[in-house]
Amino acid sequence: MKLILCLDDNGGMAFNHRRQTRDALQRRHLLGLVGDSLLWVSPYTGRLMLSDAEKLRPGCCRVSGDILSEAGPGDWVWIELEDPEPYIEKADSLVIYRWNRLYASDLRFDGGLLENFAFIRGGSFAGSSHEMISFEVYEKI
Amino acid sequence: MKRKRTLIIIICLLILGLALAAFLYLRGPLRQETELPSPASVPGGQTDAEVTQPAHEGEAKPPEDPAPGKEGGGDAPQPAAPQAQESEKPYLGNDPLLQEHPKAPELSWIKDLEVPEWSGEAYILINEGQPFFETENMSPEPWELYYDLDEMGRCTLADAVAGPETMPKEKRGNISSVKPTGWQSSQYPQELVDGRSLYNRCHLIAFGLCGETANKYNLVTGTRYFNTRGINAFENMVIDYIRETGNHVRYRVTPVWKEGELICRGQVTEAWSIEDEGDGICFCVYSYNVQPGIYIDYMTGDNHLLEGENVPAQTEEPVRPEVKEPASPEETPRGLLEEDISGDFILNTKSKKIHSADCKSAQGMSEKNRREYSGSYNELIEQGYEPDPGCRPWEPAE
Repeated sequence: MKLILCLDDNGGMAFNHRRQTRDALQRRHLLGLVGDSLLWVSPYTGRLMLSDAEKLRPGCCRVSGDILSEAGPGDWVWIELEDPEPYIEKADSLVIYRWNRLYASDLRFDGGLLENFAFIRGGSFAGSSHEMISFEVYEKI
Repeated sequence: MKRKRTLIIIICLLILGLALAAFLYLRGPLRQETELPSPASVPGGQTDAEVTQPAHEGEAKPPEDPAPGKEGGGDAPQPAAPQAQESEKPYLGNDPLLQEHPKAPELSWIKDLEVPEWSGEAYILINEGQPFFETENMSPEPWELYYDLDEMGRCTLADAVAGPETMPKEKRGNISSVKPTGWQSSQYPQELVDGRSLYNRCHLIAFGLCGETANKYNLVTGTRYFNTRGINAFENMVIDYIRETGNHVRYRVTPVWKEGELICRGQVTEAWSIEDEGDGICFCVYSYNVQPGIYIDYMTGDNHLLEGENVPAQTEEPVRPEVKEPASPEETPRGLLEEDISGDFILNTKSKKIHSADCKSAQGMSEKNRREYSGSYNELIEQGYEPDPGCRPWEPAE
């Protein structure tokens, strides 16, 4: 499983059961990474992602209330409001998008979870409403 | 001859009688025209003076203002006013929502607000994260309202529907002319206070949302931590949401004061995205106006390092201003700066010199000629002042 997360400057993922922010170009970048593979998202993320996915990668996006069980090896999973720990255990690679902004957060990613991952590559791009979004690709050691 | 004289007298008497009759006839209408018509005598017609007067009991109220923000305002005076539906002028009356800076309504929930002591998080959820205002049938029409200061000169409430239309089109202007209650300049080592200045002028509604700069109804004295960790994090979320979606967000900020204090204890920020009915933005939070490691006297704004606070060894000594090399004549700007700066300066009103706030040569200046100034550098140049090359006041303070 390939896991995707978005983080702010404080390692934050979400606040008050909502994503911290969004960016149309980040979603396009994500769909570029997914390519012809399957992307699993929760119903909440699906509301944001489905229309983009149908335009750019028709049929690639699967919405499920239990993506942890349903996602198979080689599939991509994008989590926004979910506790990342059980997903990290199952993931063999990880992509982190960084907003390079500080937002409010009450769900945060513990950087210690990266100890079994090696940084492979990274880059950055201008978002549609974010000055610079960076991304980091990790693989399980 | 006698008959002729009698005839003349009769003719004169007749003329006098006619003149008297004509006078009496005309007198009534003339008097009526010089009197003001009573309001009742002119349908819908009222003088400007009458429109601004509070109405008497039993008179009709003006139509309700369509802008939201009345909830919790049950205790606020809702003055009755004469009907003005037929007047051609806009009716302002005494409706608080139609005045520029009305008296803030007493929000019932704020009186019952119980906030735990600060325990390390810059903010906490209030009311399980749900705003207190009514969210049903909310219009995305943008508006802003900055309520009047209270009797101590403290900010009370700022309320808006923010959207792309309310966001600033230009860079933020100078806000140093506003001195919110409790304001004072307090410097600490960078290790304790990011940027060294303990206090910031904190917007209730962010400049990035509504473009308000030196609006005294919208600025409170807040710590650096409060500003950057407790407030900006929420402002960023809302600003970026509006930029990305073009949607509108109801946004209300209530500073929380204790009786007689000049520094607010914190603020409650409520936000709710209108077009997607809170799916994108929905929160109600309390942000703490504290600075870790520093004691604040909220009555006055005075502050000091907390006892037992571990200050890094290299910063235990008082922070001394950096000694600057005097500028050469070529380096000294002779006129307006291309990009104006604002800050605290010391002026010599006799020699017309501008000194930086930490200028050593200004310390020995006669009190008679010395004036402290906060604001635009270029405005001083326009007033005929020149910079002191020794302290380089044209360079922004660190």
